[in-house]
Amino acid sequence: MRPSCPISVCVFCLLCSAVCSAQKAVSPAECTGPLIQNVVDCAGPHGCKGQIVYDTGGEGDYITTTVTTRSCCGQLFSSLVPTGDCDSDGLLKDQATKDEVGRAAKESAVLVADCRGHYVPYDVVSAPRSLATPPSKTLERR
Amino acid sequence: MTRVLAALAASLAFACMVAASSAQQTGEPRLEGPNTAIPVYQITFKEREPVKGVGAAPAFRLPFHCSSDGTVFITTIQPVLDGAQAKDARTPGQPLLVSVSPSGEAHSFPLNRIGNLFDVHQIGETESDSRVAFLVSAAPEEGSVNGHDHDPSASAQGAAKDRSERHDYLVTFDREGNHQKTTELRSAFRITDISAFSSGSFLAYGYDVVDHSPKLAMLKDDGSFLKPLEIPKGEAPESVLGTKDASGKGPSAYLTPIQLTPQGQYIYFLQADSDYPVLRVSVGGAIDAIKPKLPVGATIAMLIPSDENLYAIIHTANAPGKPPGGAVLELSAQEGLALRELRLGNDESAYGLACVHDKKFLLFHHGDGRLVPLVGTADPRE
Repeated sequence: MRPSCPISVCVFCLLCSAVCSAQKAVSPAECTGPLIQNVVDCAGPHGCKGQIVYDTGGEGDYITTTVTTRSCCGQLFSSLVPTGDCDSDGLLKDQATKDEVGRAAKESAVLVADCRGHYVPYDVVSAPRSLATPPSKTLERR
Repeated sequence: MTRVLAALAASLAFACMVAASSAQQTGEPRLEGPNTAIPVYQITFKEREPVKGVGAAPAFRLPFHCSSDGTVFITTIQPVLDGAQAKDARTPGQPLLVSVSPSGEAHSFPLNRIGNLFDVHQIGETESDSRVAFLVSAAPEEGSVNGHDHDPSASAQGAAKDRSERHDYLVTFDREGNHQKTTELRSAFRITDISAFSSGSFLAYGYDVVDHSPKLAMLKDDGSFLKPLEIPKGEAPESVLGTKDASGKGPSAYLTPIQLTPQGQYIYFLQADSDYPVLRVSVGGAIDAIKPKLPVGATIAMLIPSDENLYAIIHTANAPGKPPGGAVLELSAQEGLALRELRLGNDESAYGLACVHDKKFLLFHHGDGRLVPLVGTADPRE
C-alpha cells in the first residue's frame, strides 16, 4: 500500500465522522460500514448539548464493536447500530424476524435490508462468526 | 553527451512529478500489488425488472452461489410469520434458498417439504447445472426415534431429547425446486460444507472430531464416500478452531471460516482472512495451491462466484487508506495475479455482489417488497 499522509487520514476520518453524525440523525442504518468511529450529537433539555464518540474497535468492514449504552444529556445511546430498522418496506419491523437475523448471523455473514433499498452487511455480524459463543455451542448441531 | 543525459534525467524527473501529481489528484487511495499499482475500474449498475414470484427478504445469508448458466442462488432469511399464517408457512428459523435465473425466473427450495426428516438444520448448500443439494443435520423420520407426532413443538422437543440420534443428510432437488432424494451421509469426519463439481460428485470439507484437523474428501454423486483428499502440509491450520482473542491464545471460540466456490472443472477452497493459499481442487481430486498476489497486509475475506478468474473481497485491516465498502480484486485463476481493482458506486457493499457472469456483475436491491436485480459493467476509472 502507498503510505498515506497522517493529516489526510485524520481529515478523512473527521469528514466520515461528520457525515456519519449528520446521517445518524436521519438514519442510523447509514452509519454502518467502514467507519472506525461513530459520532453521535445529542441535545437535551435546558440547552444541553453533547457528543458521544464510539470507537468501533475495528477497521474496515470488520467492526468488532461491543454493545454499550451511554447517557448523553439524559438520552441513552447504544453503540449497536440497529441496521435496517428504518426500512420502508417493513422487512425488519418485526422483532421475531430481527431475532432470526441475529441467530443466522452467529453462523455466517449476513446481508440485511436497509432503509435505502440496499442490502448491507449486518454490522455485528461482521465480527468473526460465533465470537461470543462458547465452543461447545459453536460446534453443536441443532 | 553530459547535456543529453542531464536533459533526459530532467525529463524523467518531470514525468515522475506529473505522474505523482496525477495520482494524488484522484483523491482516493489506490491499491498496489507487491510490485505495481493495480488498475482501478468502476462498476456502474442498472436496475432490471423486479423478480417475479419472489418477495424481498429481510436478510440474506452469505455467501451467494452462482451456477455456470448465471443463475444466482440466495439463502434468504424470511419474515417470521405468526398465528394462522405461520401454520402453513416454512418453519420459523429455517432459511429458504431461492434461485433467480438471468432471465428473471425464480424457484425456491423449501426444506420443510421433504417429508421424511424433522427439526432440519441447514448446514450448507451447493448447486450444479442439473440439481441443488443441501447438507442438513436432522432427526430421522418420526417413529424411528421415539414416535413424535407432527406437532412442530413436540418434534423440536423430541429432536432435542434425541440429539444423539441426529444425522447428516444430503437432500437433493431438481432445479425447479422439486425434492428428489434424501441420503444419509456417513463420513469419518464432521462435514461442515459441501460443493458440487460439474461432474455431479461433491467435495466435502470438515474436521476430525478428535483432533479438529481440517479434512477434505470426495463424495460420489449419491453422497456416498469416494476418497479422502490430502491437504498439502502447511497449507491449512492444524486445527479448524479459532481463538477468541485472535492471538492464537485463549479459549477456542469459533470455527475458522472457509468457502467452497465451484468454477468450471474446479472448486476453489478459500480459508478466509488468513495467509493460507487458495486451494484449487480438480474434479479428479488434485489440489493446487494458489498464492494470490495481494497488497501488503491484505487478506481475502470472501470470493464472489464467477465464471472466470477469481473475484476476491479483500480485507485490509492493517492498511491505511482502505477504500470504503470493501475492495474487490480480480485475480487470475492460475497464478493469483491482481488484474483489476473494482469499485462499486452508490454506497454499495462489495459483499452484496452475488455473481460475476459474462463479465457482468449482479447484485440485489429491495423495493416495494420486491427483489430487484441490478446488472453492472466495469469501466476504467478516469
